Amino acid sequence: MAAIRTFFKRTVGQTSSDNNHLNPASPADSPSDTSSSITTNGHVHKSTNDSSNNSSATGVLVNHNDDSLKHPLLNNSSINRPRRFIFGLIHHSAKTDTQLEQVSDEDICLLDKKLPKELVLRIFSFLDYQSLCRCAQVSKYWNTLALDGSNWQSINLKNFQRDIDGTVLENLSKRCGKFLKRLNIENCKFITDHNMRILANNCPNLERLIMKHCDKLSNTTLFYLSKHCSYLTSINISSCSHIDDHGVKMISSNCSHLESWDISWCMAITENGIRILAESCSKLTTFKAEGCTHMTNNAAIYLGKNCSGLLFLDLNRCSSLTDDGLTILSQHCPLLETLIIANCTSLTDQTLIALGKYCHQLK
Amino acid sequence: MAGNKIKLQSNDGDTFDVDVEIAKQSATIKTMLEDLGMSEEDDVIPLPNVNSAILKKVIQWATHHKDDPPPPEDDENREKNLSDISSWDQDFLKVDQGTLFELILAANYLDIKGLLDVTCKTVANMIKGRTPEEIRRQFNIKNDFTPQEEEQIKKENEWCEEK
Repeated sequence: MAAIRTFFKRTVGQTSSDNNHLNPASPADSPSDTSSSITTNGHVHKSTNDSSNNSSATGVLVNHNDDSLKHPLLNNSSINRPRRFIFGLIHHSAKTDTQLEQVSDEDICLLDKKLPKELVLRIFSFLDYQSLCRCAQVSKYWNTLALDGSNWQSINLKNFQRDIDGTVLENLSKRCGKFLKRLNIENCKFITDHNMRILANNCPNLERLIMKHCDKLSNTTLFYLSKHCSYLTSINISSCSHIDDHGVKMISSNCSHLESWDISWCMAITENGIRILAESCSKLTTFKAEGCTHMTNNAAIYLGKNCSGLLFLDLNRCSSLTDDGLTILSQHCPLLETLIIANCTSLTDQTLIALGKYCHQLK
Repeated sequence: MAGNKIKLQSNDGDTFDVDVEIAKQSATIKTMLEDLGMSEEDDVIPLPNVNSAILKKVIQWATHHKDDPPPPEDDENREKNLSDISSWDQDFLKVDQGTLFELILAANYLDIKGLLDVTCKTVANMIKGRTPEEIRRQFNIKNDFTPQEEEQIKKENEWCEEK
């Protein structure tokens, strides 16, 4: 609303007509043509009304019903916008005078003038990082909007570019800073522990992290995450073959909010690592350990006894598991909704009987 | 219930008879009807922020989409999918920028999430894939950076460009 007011005010308010700024839009830009013609017509009509509009030209646009104000738009055949709409909006926009005064003599950009910041940000929320970075180069106002933290809370590089260079992640982390809450770098194979150190340092509010298949990452990354990112609730380190019990221990003991772990195909994580994880993360609701040969009966019992709130458990291809482990686990996890035990070749009907007896929420 | 109408009044004073169920796609109107207990028959709902031309478009959109499932809540992880605009909506939104922005304002004021999303996406599509200079031309934006500032900002944002 305020924007319309600016637009309107500028139409009637530009007293000493500054023709240098009335660049006609390029022919290809038909929508912009409209705005240019409005300006031009506004000036044409304005010249007859200047005397009565001096007050608005100097700043404060009063909500008067001065007929002279209507004429520029009323007579403008190129606008099908009924004049009362403009007035309705003017009457409803009482603030932002100071903001408007900062608008200088540039061309009229309808988008900037009509839409409040919140709605431009909503438009920006549909843009990818590349587009946002380009928006940041358009103008000072757009720079502020494009770099607004709300645009940078969630980053998914999985669909962006897999061969992303580590420095891109570092730059991204600088830009997102404390706003970043969700990061997915699945398959970004070039990202190193050093990159992750910078990220952890810049983004202390990270909550969800997927670093699946980031082959270069090791315990060092988990060390820096545990040091800086204490709000982590969900971490996926599947197929990070260098990570072992030591890394799991650091994260588990420092990130007390962790609710979701995915250690699938982390062959270096042993029964002991799973014990530490289970003992530290009592809030665990989701645990995935597909293909972990060290997911033993003992590990299952630790999980069951410490994490009774488990809702989702993926033990696909955990070939070490037998009925004894799963029976005890099922006794302790009555809330379990999803359990994946495909390819656990040692399991028999005994496990199914136990599940039927104790886990009534299973879907 | 079917067939019940309410009257919506634009800020130009025109009134429009609209099916209640269609009008209720506007959360603003829905709230007025349900919470404030406005009776459907007699009362006219004034919409001081919407003019006739835009209200007509909004009603046209809501009528076409009256059987749509309610749009999903804003999801933090929502996909930035700009290509899922139906061909009807694309045609419907082939309007000048001024009208498009007024539709955004109206959708926001009336709280019609589906319309707000599709209009915002349409503008986002006008930005996506364009260079800064092309974006300026598209929206008639003046480059107010000094050459030095521009160089600096270009450098800061280089990392997102394909190599």
